[in-house]
Amino acid sequence: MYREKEDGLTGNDQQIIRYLLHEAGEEELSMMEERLLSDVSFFDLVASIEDEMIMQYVRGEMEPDLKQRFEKSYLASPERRARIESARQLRTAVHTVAATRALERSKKRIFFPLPVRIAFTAAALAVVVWWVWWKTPATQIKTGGTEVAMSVTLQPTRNRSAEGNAGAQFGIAADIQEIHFFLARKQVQADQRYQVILGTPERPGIFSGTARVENGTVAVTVPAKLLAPGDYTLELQSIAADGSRQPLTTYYFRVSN
Amino acid sequence: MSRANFNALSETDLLKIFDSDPGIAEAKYLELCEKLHRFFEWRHIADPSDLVQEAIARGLSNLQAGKQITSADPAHYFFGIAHNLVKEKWKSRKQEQLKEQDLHPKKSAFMGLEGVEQGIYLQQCLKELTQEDFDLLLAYTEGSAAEWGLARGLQPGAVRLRVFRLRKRIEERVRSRIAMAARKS
Repeated sequence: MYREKEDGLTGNDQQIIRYLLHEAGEEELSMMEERLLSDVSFFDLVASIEDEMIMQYVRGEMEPDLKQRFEKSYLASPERRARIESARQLRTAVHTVAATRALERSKKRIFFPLPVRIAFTAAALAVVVWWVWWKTPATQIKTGGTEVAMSVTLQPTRNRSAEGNAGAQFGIAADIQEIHFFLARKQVQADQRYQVILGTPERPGIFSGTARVENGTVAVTVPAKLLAPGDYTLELQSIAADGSRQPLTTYYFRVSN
Repeated sequence: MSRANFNALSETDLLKIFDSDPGIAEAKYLELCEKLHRFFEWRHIADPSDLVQEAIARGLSNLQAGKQITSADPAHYFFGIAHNLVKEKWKSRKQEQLKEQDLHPKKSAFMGLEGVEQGIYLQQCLKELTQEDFDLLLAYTEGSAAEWGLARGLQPGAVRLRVFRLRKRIEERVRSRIAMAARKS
């Protein structure tokens, strides 16, 4: 968000934003052009603020007032719409490569001798089972004495390698038919429509479905049979009124044996 | 960004204005065109590409008439012309009434490529980034670049410029891949 404290925006930055949105008065405009002509680094500053503003719009995190001003100026120009589209593509490509890199990292893990691995797996499994049964974020729903669904809360993580872990990890018991994912997010708009795309780096779209807003989080149900042991990404997208999708956050998780 | 069409002065002559090394000169020329394009966009010019060509053509015509570029960076000279062109209000933006489908273009104009091609070239270039640069770009696309910078003792302004230069570098790499692919085909 463009907030002075957090982003270090100065009065000068606000002036640049007014210039970019065609809101600068004659005097301010003339001053800006003078600087653009005389100072090469100022051009880069203006361009970098423009890029950042566009990316903020693409993330869907622009404050309503600025969003309105931005759309008035940017959606009216084909060239500027192309810049928005470029930013959107860059973001998608970065997400895809992030997932690939995370997988490559996980493949490079050190392998221990078989007995150690068996012991470690058994211990880990015991912990996972205990966790699934007794603790959040994963809980199970019983129907007629049989567990048919489980719930998992996913937190947004930068990526697996950066966090030093694999995001949420859990096992799925044989009887489980559905997984209810709750996607934690800073801002959830009750009237916003969402969808998710589940994938692995090799198979980016193994499942897509509409998500719902529940208790301030976004929730989606995924058939358990789709989740073989392995690493997954769950991309949350917003759905605009015209049906276009915009990626918001990618969640990572691992299904263990 | 396409090159302007000049009759009297050859492309080689034009590039020499920017640098004696043809490779560096071409890169500087393309960067100038990109910057002029952006500058005209900022001024709400209806057809920025036309005006970029006009600015370059005027500059060249002046040089042929015997004028000298006095600034160390030739880009300054062309920016001066661009500024004058805007002041002349050569073409002022008309606020168009856009249809709904125009507001959400299906095709992207990124470097003139279709979506699938763009994705492939972009991903190839992103894979070549160092882990640190990639982490920064990821943080930037997720809105946490300021936090990324704070953890490394960098001010938000410095992070922003670093991202800007990183994006420029990626665009240059994509462009060079496109040129390479074009030469091969």
